[in-house]
Amino acid sequence: MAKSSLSLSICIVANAKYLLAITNGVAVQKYLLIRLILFIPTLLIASVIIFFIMRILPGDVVQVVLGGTGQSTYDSEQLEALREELGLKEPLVVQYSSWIWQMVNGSFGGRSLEDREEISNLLARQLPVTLLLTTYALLFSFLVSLPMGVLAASWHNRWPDYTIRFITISGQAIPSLCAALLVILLLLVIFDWSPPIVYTNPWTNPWNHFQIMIWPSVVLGWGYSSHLTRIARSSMLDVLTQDYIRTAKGKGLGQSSIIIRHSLRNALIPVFSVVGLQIGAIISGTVILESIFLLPGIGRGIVHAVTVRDYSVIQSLAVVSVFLMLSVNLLIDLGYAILNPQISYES
Amino acid sequence: MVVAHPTPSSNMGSLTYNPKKGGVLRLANRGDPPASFDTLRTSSIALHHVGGGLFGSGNLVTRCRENMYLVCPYVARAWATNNDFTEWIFTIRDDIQWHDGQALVAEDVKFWLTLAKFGFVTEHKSRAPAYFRADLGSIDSIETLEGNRLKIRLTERFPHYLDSLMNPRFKIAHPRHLMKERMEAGDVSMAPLDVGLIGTGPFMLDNYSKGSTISIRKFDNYWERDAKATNLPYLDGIDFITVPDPSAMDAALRTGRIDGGARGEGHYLSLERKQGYDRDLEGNVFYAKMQGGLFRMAFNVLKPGPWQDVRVRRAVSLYIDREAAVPSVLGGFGYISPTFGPSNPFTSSNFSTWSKFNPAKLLDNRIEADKLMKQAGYENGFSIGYLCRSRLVPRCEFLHSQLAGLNIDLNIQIVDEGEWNRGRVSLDYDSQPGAHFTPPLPEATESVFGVYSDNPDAYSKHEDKNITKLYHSLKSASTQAQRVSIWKQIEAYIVDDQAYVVPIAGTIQVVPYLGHVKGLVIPPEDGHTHTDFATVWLNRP
Repeated sequence: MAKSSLSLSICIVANAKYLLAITNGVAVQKYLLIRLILFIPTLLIASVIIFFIMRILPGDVVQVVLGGTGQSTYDSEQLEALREELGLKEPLVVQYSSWIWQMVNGSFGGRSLEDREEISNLLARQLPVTLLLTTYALLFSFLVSLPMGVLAASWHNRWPDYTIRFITISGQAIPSLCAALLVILLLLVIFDWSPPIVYTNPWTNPWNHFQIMIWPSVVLGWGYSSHLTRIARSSMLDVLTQDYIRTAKGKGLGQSSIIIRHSLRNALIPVFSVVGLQIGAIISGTVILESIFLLPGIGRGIVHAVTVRDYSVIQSLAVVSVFLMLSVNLLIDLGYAILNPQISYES
Repeated sequence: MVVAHPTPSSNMGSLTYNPKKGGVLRLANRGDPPASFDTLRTSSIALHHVGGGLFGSGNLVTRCRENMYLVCPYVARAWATNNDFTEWIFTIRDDIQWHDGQALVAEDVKFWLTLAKFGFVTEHKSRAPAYFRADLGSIDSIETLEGNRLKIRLTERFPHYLDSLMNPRFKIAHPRHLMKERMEAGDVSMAPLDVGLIGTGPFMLDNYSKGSTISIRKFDNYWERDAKATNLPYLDGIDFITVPDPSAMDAALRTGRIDGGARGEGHYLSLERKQGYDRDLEGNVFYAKMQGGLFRMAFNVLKPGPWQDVRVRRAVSLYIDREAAVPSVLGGFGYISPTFGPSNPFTSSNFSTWSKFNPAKLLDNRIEADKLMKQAGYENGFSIGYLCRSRLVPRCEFLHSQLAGLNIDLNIQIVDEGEWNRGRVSLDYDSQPGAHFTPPLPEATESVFGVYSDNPDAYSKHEDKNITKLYHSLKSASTQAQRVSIWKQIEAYIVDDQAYVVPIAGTIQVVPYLGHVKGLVIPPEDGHTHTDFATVWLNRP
């Protein structure tokens, strides 16, 4: 009797899990579809805001191009003629419509107003550099922050915790600009060496790529991993005081087993959500580092475009950044289910 | 018809070294050249540092290598003018080729000059003329003549037309045979990059990796030769490495990754940075020092305020300690001068005895300044806005602290490059530093000293017709002595008498090069000059 009721229970549980998986699978698809549809109004609203903010800013690309670096003089007739040539005298609605059409027809916003380069080419050149830098920094952060967070929590208020606290607080307090300049200076003074100055792709010259990417990745990753380490430490400390951990300890499980098998997964959930929120920070961190370490990425491209008021480039790159942010956040939301199967997408 | 200028036999005559051929020079460049390398659009040094090699150092004429204040032949081997200097005929060299092998002829120069002066108009589209079109004179017509000659007819006499033309920013970078047809078909905005940067300079494009490098390699059919009739250039090529950050440039140069620094504000060395080079490289480095632009305060007299009173402007000019500006905000390299650098033949040699420029009289000047403020009724001071470029904030702070002594509250309005380029041609600001640089030529200064209605980019915004008259006389002057004399009147009137513009100090632009870089032509002023690097050679161990 007991045996049959056990079999029945197992059968019910198995069926329930199967049903849950099916329901959850359908729900995930539905959730994914809704989120993807929501991308469209979000991107449109962002594009309108970006477009009009750029127009509110004083100065325009024509003045910057004609003004050079402040070393040439020009008159209003020339200004107007060049504005006409670049289509900047069209009504704003016409300019916006024309740009948005160029965004959706595959040319990513047409051409740069400053140097006429096709924005699709510009993206193809700059985006991989930034994505690689961001990926390296993220990898570095994960590889460093999770073990450090666990270590700090396990050795709570003892010397490893203090050391890690010092490293992470420094990482959060020192701006990446200062850290980058400090790295360059230290390499120069101590080793009489500086990073390579010409960027190469990893598939053309891996050694040069490694030498030029390692330092900005470490600098960017230091600040980012510091934040993650702090979150991982707090989260781990929180988990380690839970009843089920006490039970596990009471059963005589070893410390490593408790941490790896029973604590880590739960402690990772807040870390994972912070990753999503902080991805914007890591992308914006590339802006300065790309200039200092001579990386021709999207961050440096945006800074230059803003400086010269290259509207079409700024708008297009900003919309691409918004799209990237939305996509990363969507992936993170989907990833919660892997870490915690109790999370449902039904609602 | 009279010959206006003799044709120098060679501008390489004084070179006595025995250069080694070959090698690739690596130079930093502060950014990608803007406007698709269009020399008609922008004067940015990021373009002209590279552009000299690709497009050559001049146009019809160029600044001489031995003396940049003299005119030397370039694309034109000879020229002549009529008695009233309204007709100029240039004979174009027969041995010049574009990098694609096409011969350069008078029609090509006509195309470029027309494009620069008048732009390009098709049925539906039009292209704006060059930003420097005013410096090309009041051109009535351009025609080609037999014998590969070009005739430019002006509506007004312009005796010193060649001085105006030899500006190194006016580079021929628009090949007619590659552009004209496409422009006629409607692509009026096309730029040199769209046709592969085909120029006539000593180097031709090898590879352009945007954001990283511009590699140019020796053009074997370049026409220029040195005094020993050896073909120029000596180098096999130049790699310009894009280095937007000055500290990255310092590290790269000090570790030998590059041979020379970038030109441009921010990249020029300060005394402190130079000491780092001296310490690390111990004599294996030299410095190109070129007089640059002035740090100044110019008043918008068209906007109501105390600065409309000439006594107030004079007081400001008298009160400022110009010598203090050099170490504190010009990185330790600077000079005191009213307009041009000390080496310029038009600089008044006695300016340091002018009351406002005599450092020995600073105390007396300040007492005088206080009196003038009292007379004008502003002994308790006033507030004045100052348009301040974000990259030059220390200068604005210096001015703020100086003027505080006169109870003047300088309201520093920090702006980025976009607003700087708009604001400086507007009437929105009380005062401003003005555009950084003018060609070292008196006639060219009307665009920055003249009346606002004709010169919106003038440093000081005023409508003083007396200045227009003076410039008219200057442009009509036939002899050098007349030019110098009239220029001194203009300068004294603007800077000393009316104090529309208060010059503070000039910058010296310092560019580092490793010791094995030889044959570099370093102009005494204007870093845009002689960027063709045709005479450079490498003596690497």
